[in-house]
Amino acid sequence: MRLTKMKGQKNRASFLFSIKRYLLFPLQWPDLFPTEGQIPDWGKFPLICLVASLGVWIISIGYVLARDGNSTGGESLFWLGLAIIYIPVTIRLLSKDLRRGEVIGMLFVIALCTYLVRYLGGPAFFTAFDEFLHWRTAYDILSTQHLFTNNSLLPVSPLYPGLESITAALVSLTSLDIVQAGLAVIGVSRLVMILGLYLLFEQMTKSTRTAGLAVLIYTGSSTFLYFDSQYGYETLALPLAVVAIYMLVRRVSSYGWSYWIWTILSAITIFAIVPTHHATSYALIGFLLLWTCTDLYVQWQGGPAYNPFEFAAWLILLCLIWIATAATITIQYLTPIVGGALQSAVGLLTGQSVIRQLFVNSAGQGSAIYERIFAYGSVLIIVLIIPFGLWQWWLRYRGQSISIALAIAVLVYPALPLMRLSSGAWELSDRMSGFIYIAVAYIVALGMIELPLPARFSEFRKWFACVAVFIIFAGGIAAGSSPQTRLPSPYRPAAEELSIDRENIAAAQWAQAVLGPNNRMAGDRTETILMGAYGTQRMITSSSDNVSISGLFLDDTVTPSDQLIISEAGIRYLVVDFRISTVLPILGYYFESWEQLITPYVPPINNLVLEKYDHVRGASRVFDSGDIVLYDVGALQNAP
Amino acid sequence: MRRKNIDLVVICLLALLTFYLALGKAGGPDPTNNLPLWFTPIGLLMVILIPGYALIAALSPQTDWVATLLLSLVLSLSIDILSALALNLTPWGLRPISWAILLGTLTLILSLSAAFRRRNNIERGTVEKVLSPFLTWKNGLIFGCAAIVVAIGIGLVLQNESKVRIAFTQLWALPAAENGKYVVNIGINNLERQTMNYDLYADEDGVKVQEWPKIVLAPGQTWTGQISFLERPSSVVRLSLSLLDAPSKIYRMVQIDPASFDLVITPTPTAIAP
Repeated sequence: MRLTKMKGQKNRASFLFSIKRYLLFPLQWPDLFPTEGQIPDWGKFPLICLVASLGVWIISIGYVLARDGNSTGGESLFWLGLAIIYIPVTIRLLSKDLRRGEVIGMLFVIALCTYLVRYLGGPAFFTAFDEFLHWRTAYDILSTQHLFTNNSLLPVSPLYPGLESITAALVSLTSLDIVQAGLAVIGVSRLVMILGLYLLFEQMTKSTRTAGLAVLIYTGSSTFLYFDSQYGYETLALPLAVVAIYMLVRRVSSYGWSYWIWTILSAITIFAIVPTHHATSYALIGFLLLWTCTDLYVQWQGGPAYNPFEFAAWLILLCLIWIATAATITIQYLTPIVGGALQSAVGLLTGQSVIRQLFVNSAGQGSAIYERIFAYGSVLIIVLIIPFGLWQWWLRYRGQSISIALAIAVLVYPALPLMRLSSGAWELSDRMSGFIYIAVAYIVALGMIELPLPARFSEFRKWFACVAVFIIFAGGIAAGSSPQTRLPSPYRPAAEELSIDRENIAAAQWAQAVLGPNNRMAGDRTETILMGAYGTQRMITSSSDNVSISGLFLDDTVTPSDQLIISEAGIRYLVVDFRISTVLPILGYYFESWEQLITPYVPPINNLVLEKYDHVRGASRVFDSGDIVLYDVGALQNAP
Repeated sequence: MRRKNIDLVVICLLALLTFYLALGKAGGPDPTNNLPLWFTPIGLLMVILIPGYALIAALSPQTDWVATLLLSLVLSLSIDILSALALNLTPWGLRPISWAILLGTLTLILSLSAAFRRRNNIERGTVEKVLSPFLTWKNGLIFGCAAIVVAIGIGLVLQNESKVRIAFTQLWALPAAENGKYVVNIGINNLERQTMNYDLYADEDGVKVQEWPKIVLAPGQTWTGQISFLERPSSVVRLSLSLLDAPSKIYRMVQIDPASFDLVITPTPTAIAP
């Protein structure tokens, strides 16, 4: 009895000692931060590489099943493959005999595997909606040999031609086409992002393990696997911004000639971000200003001065020059997006807006229950660990101005899941996660490395960390992509990427070859991007031409107002994919987003409405491939 | 002494090779690439790695191998972006030859300045140090197996993608006015999986104009034809394509309204913003 009591007291004392050690200055795992230039030890990296290759193989089988129509089997193998790639890497990161070379090798494997997950989804051609918009800009640069061409699909795209410039250089100096060159740029960007984050976190924490874990947590951003690995300007600009911050961190710890070298390299990289992506430039300005403020605070507390204000000023100056000279429509382009999101979020808070239904798309298709668990679980884990991470930051890094800036930035995180409840703000929340997760990854990694548990629970902590990292990663995928569009699948009409098949690609290629480029044309969302990109046609869009084309397709007959639109917009051809009449649109609209506000598509659009131009005097049906039909409506431009 | 600059010698040779090939083969206005296929890996390195590596070598910041790799990639991409802005200001624009000259010249200048800065340094050999613990038979075997497994996965996806390719036939008809005549240019493109036998029938307001009773096309093959009218047709010209197996069923149909004969295809050129 007495013995049991003593044992209980001893356990309580051990626990209290652990808590005390945690609260004061814990460092429970042996860590290392080798000096630069040390010979790397690759550890178990080759074995991890082999296991990860099996994960990729399983995912590829999942893709094959999904393309053949077995979406359940495909999804299961997709998640299994990701688990096989991620869990061994996490286990190794939390092992005691960790080496720096091994960490870098494993992160290289993560970069390669996540790139392959995207590549295998569409190895022969671009599949994501935005990729076609930038494809057209790259094509125009190559065909005119100059920047700043007009692109009616996304007018702001040619004004930020960084990504397309590199693509043009690759196409010019190799035998690659635009898609292959674009895939090469995406691959390099992915590697730069992973290595850049690793070196930044390593520089800040002086810990290989924490840096590696932080990179894995960053991959749980909802944009990482899909949005930031597509052929889009953020895919390139975000890695450049991360490396620019790394260079600035290196600069503040350098002296003499080395200081000026890092100054030059930072200035060049920051300059390159400005013509690459607007939002990344502005996010970097915001972060540099925040860093400046925290540095002033550190100086006030008696710390050293590492003020990055001159680079914030440099970036602001470049952005202002860019907006004033080249990209004059940027503000006009961004204002409605940000304004609408804020308005919607405020409406949600004041009870004027309806809460958006999560995990269900406009066609009524929902996500599987395990995906919802991943999504909610990742938010819960992050929210729970952030306080522990902030405590570790307070103990170890509160004198570091950039760490303070990241600790402040992480406080924005709780707003991201809440913004997803608003129909107007969820997209902004999704885009912001790529930036905010840099801070989240840093703080959560600090918290996860030092969870307040007694030493005898170290094995439990290791497995908890493995499961938590995978749930954070899987939650990011579940939140950032629709299960209907995530995997390749048989053709599905009115469903964004899934609506692209050989028939509509062939129709676009026919238009370029036979009609020639830049005919004024209108169609549904999918036909617009395909005809505008592969077809090189001048597509009529509301953003570029200030006209609405929905009525041309949705009206029962051709009305005088339709004729006026054809005449005013100078529309020569209408492209119709008759398959859209068989299903509800996945986004809630077929042609333009306003349709979902006034037209509930139940049942889907009538086939007879779509084929009305067969019976209209002045319209010619000039192309027919079974499902895709082109009408020449040029004669209607001058019709009375 | 010479061995420590081997990296600079290699990138200078690659830059000179790029010059040579770009000057010889890619100086024309044609935007399509016409450099030889074997040059692709070198061209890739010239765009995404070499200019940045030369800049890092010239400035020699204190970095380890992984930071050198990262900075080489990032600075190459940054140089490409800023080079594009510079080339856009020139009358030649972003042609293969101008890319080759700009990136090649930058690489040569930076490499020479790097060699000058290294003149008093001891031998480096960073690449060997990084790779030496890595290059063992055991590791080679494991990486070989991993590469084979991934290659099999990629092969499966590519094979499956070509297998599920859907099959269809394209029919088109475009009105035109040539030498005072009104013509309809017709085309059929067989994108089915097998050889197809078609029957094409043209009528004007129900009255037969012309018929092509047996058009045999192999997969991927295209047929073109023309109908001429001395006067502008007064009613709709309809072309019906049917399969010889099912002649009563219209497989594809196109039709030309008389008003369309007055129009010509006038694509607008790609405009350059001011």
